[in-house]
Amino acid sequence: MHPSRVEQVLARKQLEHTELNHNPTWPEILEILRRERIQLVHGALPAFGWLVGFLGTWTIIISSETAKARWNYVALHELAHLWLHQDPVGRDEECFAFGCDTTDDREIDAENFVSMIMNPECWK
Amino acid sequence: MLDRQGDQQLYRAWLRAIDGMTNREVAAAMGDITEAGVSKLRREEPSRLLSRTRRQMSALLNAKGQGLSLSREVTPHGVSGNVTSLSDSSRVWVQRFLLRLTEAGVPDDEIDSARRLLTKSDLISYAHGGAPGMGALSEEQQLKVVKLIAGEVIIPRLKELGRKVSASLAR
Repeated sequence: MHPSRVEQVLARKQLEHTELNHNPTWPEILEILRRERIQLVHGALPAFGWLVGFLGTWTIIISSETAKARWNYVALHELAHLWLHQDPVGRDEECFAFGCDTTDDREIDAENFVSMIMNPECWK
Repeated sequence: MLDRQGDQQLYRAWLRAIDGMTNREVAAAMGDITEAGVSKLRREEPSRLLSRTRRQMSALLNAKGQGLSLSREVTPHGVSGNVTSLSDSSRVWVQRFLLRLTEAGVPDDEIDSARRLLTKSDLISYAHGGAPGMGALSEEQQLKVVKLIAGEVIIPRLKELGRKVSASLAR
């Protein structure tokens, strides 16, 4: 996906979640998740974080071994996947995708999305 | 034309299964669809299937003993990996868990969704951190992951839907 498309999605989301207009704090991210009706849990995972869809709801799982300093980043990364890659086909659609392939272009999309929030100066 | 291979297979199997049935009979068998809706589906392949329509078609096929066991889920972006590469201990645990859900009265389509979630080799949707696919995890790691998904994702959602399940089912 072209970065301009990622920017468009972010711009739309910034209207819904004003916290995204700056680097959001952890409580602000939790508030975004609450509005999006996304559950957040911690657990033993072989990855920093996973986004899981089941019967129309979505859950972000953050690995218990992920340092707290990374929680914001991981949560925003998974949110990016949901907004960029799942929402276009609908939250009720099952979308079991290439989750773990780091050569997947969607990982770049998600990284760009988070970077636009956390490092906006890089995108000017 | 349906853009997901799995949906194409399902749709074509459904067309074969309803050959000789009237639209009224098909609507009655599928439930929650009108005769006009059936007629439209028959005449013209849709571009995508709603989850509900998929479930209805699958239910009709299963009732006629023609259920499909799709071995590849197709995503909007392409084809994902094969379904099963779980260790025997994980497979046994998953089957026991699904049996407990059945005994708790969870509807079949929800149990099918739980099965699909728990048996995907690359499991779930997106992972951050370059995690290997489920097939590359150790037996112990796989078991931890399926228990985690069952306990923290499946059971809570089923409870929200009013199913009489408890966290103990995922232990």
